[in-house]
Amino acid sequence: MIKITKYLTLNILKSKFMLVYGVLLFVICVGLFTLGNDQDKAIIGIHNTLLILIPIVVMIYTVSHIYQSTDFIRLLLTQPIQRKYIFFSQFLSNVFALLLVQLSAIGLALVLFSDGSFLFSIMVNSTFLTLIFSAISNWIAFSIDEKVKGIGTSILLGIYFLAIYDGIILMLIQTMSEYPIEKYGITLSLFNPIDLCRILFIFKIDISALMGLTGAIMEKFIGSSLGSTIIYIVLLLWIGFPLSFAVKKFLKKDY
Amino acid sequence: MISVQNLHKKYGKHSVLQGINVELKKGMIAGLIGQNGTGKTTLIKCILGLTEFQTGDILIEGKSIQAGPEYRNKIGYMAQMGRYPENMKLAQLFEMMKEIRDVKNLDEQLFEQFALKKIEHQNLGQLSGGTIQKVSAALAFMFNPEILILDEPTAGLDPVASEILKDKITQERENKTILITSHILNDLDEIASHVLFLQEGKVLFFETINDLKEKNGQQKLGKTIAEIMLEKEIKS
Repeated sequence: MIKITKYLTLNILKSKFMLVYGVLLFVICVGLFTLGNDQDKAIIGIHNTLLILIPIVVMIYTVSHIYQSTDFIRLLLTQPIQRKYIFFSQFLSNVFALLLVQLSAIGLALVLFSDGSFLFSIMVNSTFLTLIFSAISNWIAFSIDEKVKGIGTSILLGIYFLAIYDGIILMLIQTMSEYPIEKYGITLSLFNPIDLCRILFIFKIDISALMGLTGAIMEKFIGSSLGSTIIYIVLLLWIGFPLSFAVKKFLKKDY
Repeated sequence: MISVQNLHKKYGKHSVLQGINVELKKGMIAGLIGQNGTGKTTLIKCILGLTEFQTGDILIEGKSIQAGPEYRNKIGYMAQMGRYPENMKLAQLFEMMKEIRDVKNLDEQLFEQFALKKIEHQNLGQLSGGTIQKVSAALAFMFNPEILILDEPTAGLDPVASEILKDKITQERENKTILITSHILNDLDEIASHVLFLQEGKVLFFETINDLKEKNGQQKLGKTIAEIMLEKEIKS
């Protein structure tokens, strides 16, 4: 498994897409640092950009990469290797390559242009987002045979997590503002990994009001240490569940 | 040896293979033919473990393929126009496969005859369809497998490469069990010893090419098969 992962990771790292993606991330980060003089504001801007960019890029790239690799996965399946190892080789190679590019681009920008105080939390959130959306993409690509439908589903799901979900929560809270529904707001945010990463970041940087409603509510109700523990557990579940569904689909898939 | 026993395979409600029974022995080169959609590819996929079947079994050297993936050590598979990772170098592909298979006694004859050494530092994404086909053929033979499954092996190959491959197939015949699908019946006429004809998911016949030609009084396999198919159509 390690051997295959190594070769597949190299293959992805050498693609033009990865180069463009890395440069783009670096330029965005540097741009946000140089536009204003306030380091904290730039960091918030970078984090917000990553919350949008990573899910969308990871999902579209992973899903289309899996469809492109169908022939090669088929060839690997005819070799004396268990299916689960082939699954994890392709999953890990994709994740390793994406993480390496993302973390080095963002890391470099943060080291060069900031005091590095938020480096770790941004890295952790980027890693969670990459793992979660990569797992979801694997589930989509191995469940839907048609490439166009698969990519379409991943785009729709990305938009849902990024915009529609928050919209629904905001509408619910506004229309029911007479009732004490904040607690339900917290529960609802557990169903959106992007919200969870945002909340995690809010705990690190004291700007809840700037970062969206669910974040503000979360901080109000749960102290940061208990809150972050719960969030880490839920984020791990967000990786585990889609990944196990994806493995199940892959093990039974007709190639 | 491949033994397919009462194999049934359904896709949803559609029954593709309906009780296939066939024994492929060492020394045989079986040409798998049949009209489109008769289950040729599905049968190959079942043998390779690419798809699950409902009932029946497939034994390789007496052992069920459902026991685990180890039986694939005995199989070399040449896919039809496979697509490889674009940025992987040809040399890296062979390195990876060698690491997976871990076979010491390598057969690099096709690798050399197709002059793949010259282009081993090129990315697989830059290679033409024909060259990719040569790569697939060289990979299938490289690990000296006892069984070879070749899906349209000569499609896309230039005449020289096609002859090299056909020579290699006949040369390996004695020690191997070889299953080939091809729409080019002239190729099968040259290299195959048997014809396995599938129709609507069943084995219509499995005979030696010579017996088949004798029965139908024809000199060429193409005409023999065409006649049989025409007869079937008139009957139905």
